Amino acid sequence: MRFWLAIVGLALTPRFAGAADDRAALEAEHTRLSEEMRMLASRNAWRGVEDSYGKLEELHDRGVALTVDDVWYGAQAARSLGDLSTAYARLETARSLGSSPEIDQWVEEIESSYGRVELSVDPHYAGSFALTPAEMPFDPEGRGAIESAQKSIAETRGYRGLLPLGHYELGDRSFEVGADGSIASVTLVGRGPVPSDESVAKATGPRAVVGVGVTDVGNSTADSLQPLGFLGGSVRLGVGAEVEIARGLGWFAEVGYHGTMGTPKDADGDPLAARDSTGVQANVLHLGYGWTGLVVHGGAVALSIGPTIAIGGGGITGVAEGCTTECGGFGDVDADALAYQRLSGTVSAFGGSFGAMWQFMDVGRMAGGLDLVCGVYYDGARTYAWPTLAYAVAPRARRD
Amino acid sequence: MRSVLFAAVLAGLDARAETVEVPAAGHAYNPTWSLDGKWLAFELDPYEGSVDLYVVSVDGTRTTAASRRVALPGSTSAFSTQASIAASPLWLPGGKLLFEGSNAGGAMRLYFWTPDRPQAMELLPATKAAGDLSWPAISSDGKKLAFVSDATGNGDLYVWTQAANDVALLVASTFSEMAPRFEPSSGRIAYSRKNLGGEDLFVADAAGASSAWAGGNGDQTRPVWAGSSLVYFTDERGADHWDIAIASGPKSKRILARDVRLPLRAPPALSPDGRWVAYAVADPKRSDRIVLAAIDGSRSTEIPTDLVACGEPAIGRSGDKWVLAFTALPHEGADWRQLQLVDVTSQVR
Repeated sequence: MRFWLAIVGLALTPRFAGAADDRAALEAEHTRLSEEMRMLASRNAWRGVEDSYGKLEELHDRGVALTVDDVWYGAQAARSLGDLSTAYARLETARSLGSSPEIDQWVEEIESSYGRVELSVDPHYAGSFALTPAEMPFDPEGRGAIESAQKSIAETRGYRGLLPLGHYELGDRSFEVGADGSIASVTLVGRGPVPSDESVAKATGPRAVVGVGVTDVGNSTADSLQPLGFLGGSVRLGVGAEVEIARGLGWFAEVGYHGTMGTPKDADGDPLAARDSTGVQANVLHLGYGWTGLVVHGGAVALSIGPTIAIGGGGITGVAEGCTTECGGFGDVDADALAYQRLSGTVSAFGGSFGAMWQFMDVGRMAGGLDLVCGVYYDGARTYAWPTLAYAVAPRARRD
Repeated sequence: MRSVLFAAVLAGLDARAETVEVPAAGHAYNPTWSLDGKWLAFELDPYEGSVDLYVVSVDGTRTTAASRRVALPGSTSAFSTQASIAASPLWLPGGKLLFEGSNAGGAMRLYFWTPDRPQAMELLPATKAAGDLSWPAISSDGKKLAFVSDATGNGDLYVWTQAANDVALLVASTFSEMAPRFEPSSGRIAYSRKNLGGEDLFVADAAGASSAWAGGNGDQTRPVWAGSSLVYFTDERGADHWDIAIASGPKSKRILARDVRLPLRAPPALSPDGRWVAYAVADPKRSDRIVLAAIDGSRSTEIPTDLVACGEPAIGRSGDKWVLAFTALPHEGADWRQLQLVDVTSQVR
């Protein structure tokens, strides 16, 4: 019970901590992030500046006012990463906070050198739809804007934003980005079934997990000779595969090993002391498991749920008290002798498991992350309840 | 020895050098004219670990606006300043500027700047060209950029092509390649290679196949094309004696000037038409003048000043005038070298 309370407590801790945030703490974090952003900018580490600015925007959502300087660095980061449209939006934000000649000059330069476009490619369009400028500009800012648009079109079949003035081709259509303030809108329309898109990786592939946790082997409810329940530490190793069956939804199957080891205890819950020369053998369970079900991808989180079977065996020291006078022919056996009695046998259990994986790192085309998996088995006589915290590698969600 | 045969002409100038005002203290170095002669870029070194780059618009010998500092992104904004390096300006067609830049403690990279933007922007991301980048050189059509990267540990030559937006390795060796320059007519690239304690000149074709152009004792360095010949600095007479030489091939070297004052970073200062080279004199007693020598060796002319320690010359064509930019101390014991402009139209016609 204490374990489950701890799990619940852990889950709720961030909420309590968030509630405890006060204005001074938020402002201190603002100061830290601003300084971090300047330091990263001085090293040309624009990806880091962008990350810091993203955190500043989260603070802004919580009521912290950003400075012109913050937004200025955010605009520079976006420009350096090729996202001129975002840079322009941030410059407009900076202007609203308190303008400067530099910001005004930059905004005017963007407005005189770039035009707005809305480009989209119908899913039915089967031809090539690369975005090609008549001439790639020397200017790195213009090149970045074009490369950003090309990437967006390749990955999402669409782009809304800024492009340098000039002539372009999108698939079999050509268009002009002019300085008259109009929006160049181009849509490539096709017919027939939606072609497969090899450029977008499906959330399909292998999965693997290795974790540790605890397993609570319950006391028997059967009217037969049964071992005592116990709480032990456990390890869980598994491999499997996922197949995407719809966007964000997949089917998975996983097999593996679930092992548990615990210390034998007496009826009062105290660890058994070694007796004579025989000692006390640890309680052990070696289970192989199979798990299948559905996996739902939502951003960086993947939720898995489905039925589980577990087959194996083990040995437990101690006999459940309820059986001692009515089964197995023990009669009035000394309770101390029952506590040291070793029982071995097999387990065939059925149940269900639920997993929540936070995918926070790329592992090739897969994603790695922390996986909290919980489950319950039942073998007809007792339940086996277990949570594990694991490192897992699995297919990641589509990034569009 | 041909240089002693130059018909030296003392011009007897009445033109006075115009000083370019700079809103900061520091030694002015490396003036560089834009291709249209409307802009002049120069470095300012306050001897505090940083080097700043300034640009100023010019009409003849007059500046038409205050000098502007070219800011690196991240190093300086309207709101903060940190030490940084911005040096080795290279003008592109259309008044656009390339230069080498480094934020405090960071890698040296190539930056792009235009007068209508508050800050420069990195030309090539590290994903396209890794390492410290230096020695930018632009082809005559402005479509190709040669530069040096130390990504492999040695300086190697790379070429970025604008149309394809890709970077290709041109010349690599176990030695350091430096100072590339495109030949305007053919696109061949001259460069220097530091090897075995000396520095020699090579010329590479578009495929990177190189042939030796000038070598020998000491260093032959910082080549610049004058037609199909290379003009360069050489100290083959000893480390304290820098000469300017011209070579139309591996065995055709001719000395244009002896005992010149070696600029901080610049190659020999050719006039835009390639007919003249400007230089300062190493002899302190003659440091009050800049010399213009005809590339064909036919004559030379001296531009006397009332300044001292003249150096870092650059010739540009601003409007209908030929203007010599150089830096000098205003007088003995002065704190900082200043940027000067002199009309030399009558001397080079």
